[in-house]
Amino acid sequence: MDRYISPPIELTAAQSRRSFRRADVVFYDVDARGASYVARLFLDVPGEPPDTSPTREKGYAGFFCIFGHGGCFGDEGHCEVPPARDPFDLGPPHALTPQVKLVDITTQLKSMSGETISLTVLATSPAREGPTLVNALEFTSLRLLTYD
Amino acid sequence: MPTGAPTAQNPAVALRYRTSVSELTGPQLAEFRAAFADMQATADDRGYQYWAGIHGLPLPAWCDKYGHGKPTFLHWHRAYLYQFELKLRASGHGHDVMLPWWDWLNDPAIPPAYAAARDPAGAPNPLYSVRINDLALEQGKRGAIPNDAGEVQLARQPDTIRQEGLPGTHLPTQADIDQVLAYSDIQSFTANLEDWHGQVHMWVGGHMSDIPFAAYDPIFWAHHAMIDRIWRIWQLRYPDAASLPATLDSEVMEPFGLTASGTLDVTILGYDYASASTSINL
Repeated sequence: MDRYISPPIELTAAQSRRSFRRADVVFYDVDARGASYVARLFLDVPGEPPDTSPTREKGYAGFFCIFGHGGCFGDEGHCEVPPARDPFDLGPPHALTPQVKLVDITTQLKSMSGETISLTVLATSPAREGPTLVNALEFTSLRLLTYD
Repeated sequence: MPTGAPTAQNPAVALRYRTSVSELTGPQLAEFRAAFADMQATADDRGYQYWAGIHGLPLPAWCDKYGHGKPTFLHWHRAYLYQFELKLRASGHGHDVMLPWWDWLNDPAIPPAYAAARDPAGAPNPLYSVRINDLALEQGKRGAIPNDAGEVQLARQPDTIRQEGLPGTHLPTQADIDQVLAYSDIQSFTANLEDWHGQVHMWVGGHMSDIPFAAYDPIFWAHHAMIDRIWRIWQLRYPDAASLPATLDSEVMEPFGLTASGTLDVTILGYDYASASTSINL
């Protein structure tokens, strides 16, 4: 099993001091051109996050899954997303336009009280025969959203 | 009995029912296998290779345009199964079959109908593995990311394989899906269900874990029937909720010729889901 562990990401969770109905972590511009993988989110986990049977007691907060394109099967540039679209292009966006992934972490965040919370993301791919996990968890920005 | 919505071309007719694969009777399963075998033996654009290839390879990989990481994930796959099922029913001399669902909540293993290499009569089981066409394999070898050993293994396996339950993979539980069904807005529901759908693909492993080849594995269709069924359950639970952002109403689910809004009502598409369905001879 291939795995990648992100460095801890500090979430300033001022909202968590107030009551909230729901909390999401949103990942923007997630690259899905590579191998399939599961990204599991852990909050304030001491040491390395567990990679199997994640539990709330071990800080597990939720996951997202990338069902990856698996590589580029066309000619050079086939899987490159153009930086700008033709203004008269009314068709759908490029198939591999980076994705937005949303993870509901309400239950775990409600159980925490600190103003700053450490987020660790563990990406795993069951790569016995399939492609190796490269450039997994590539995204441009992250947001913590809470809803009243 | 509910009927499909009548149109000028098609007066109301009795709906067809998709059932759990575990509820198929012996003769129903035999008929379903015969339909798969006939579709696999068809080499033109009514055949299995053509329809499995729409998902990934050979290019274009239509599912990436509409089906993954997109708000039309559920709509595109409903259109895909709908068209595939019509071709399956029309294969050979015609078969009275519907796509069954694999209930991975209550049957957390590959169903015996798909897991056995041979059918009860000793013939190769068309639901077990499928040989992938040379063009798809060639494109797969050309561009795939190699595995840890530096090899592009899946594209070198002409017959689909599974490696279910590898470390780090999980099937959802009833509690997980209950949580998904608790979202009353279509965006949250779709996003969370798509993520669990991906986990099932990875749990099955082998070609199912890889977009380019996933639909060649016959279990793909039973897995997606389960996903489509969960969406149907959600639609019944929240009858007043929009099943599609309004801006996507007229989005065409290529290459199936249906709009996203045209996929919303399964009874217009002529089917629904039942625990079991048995014709009773009178």
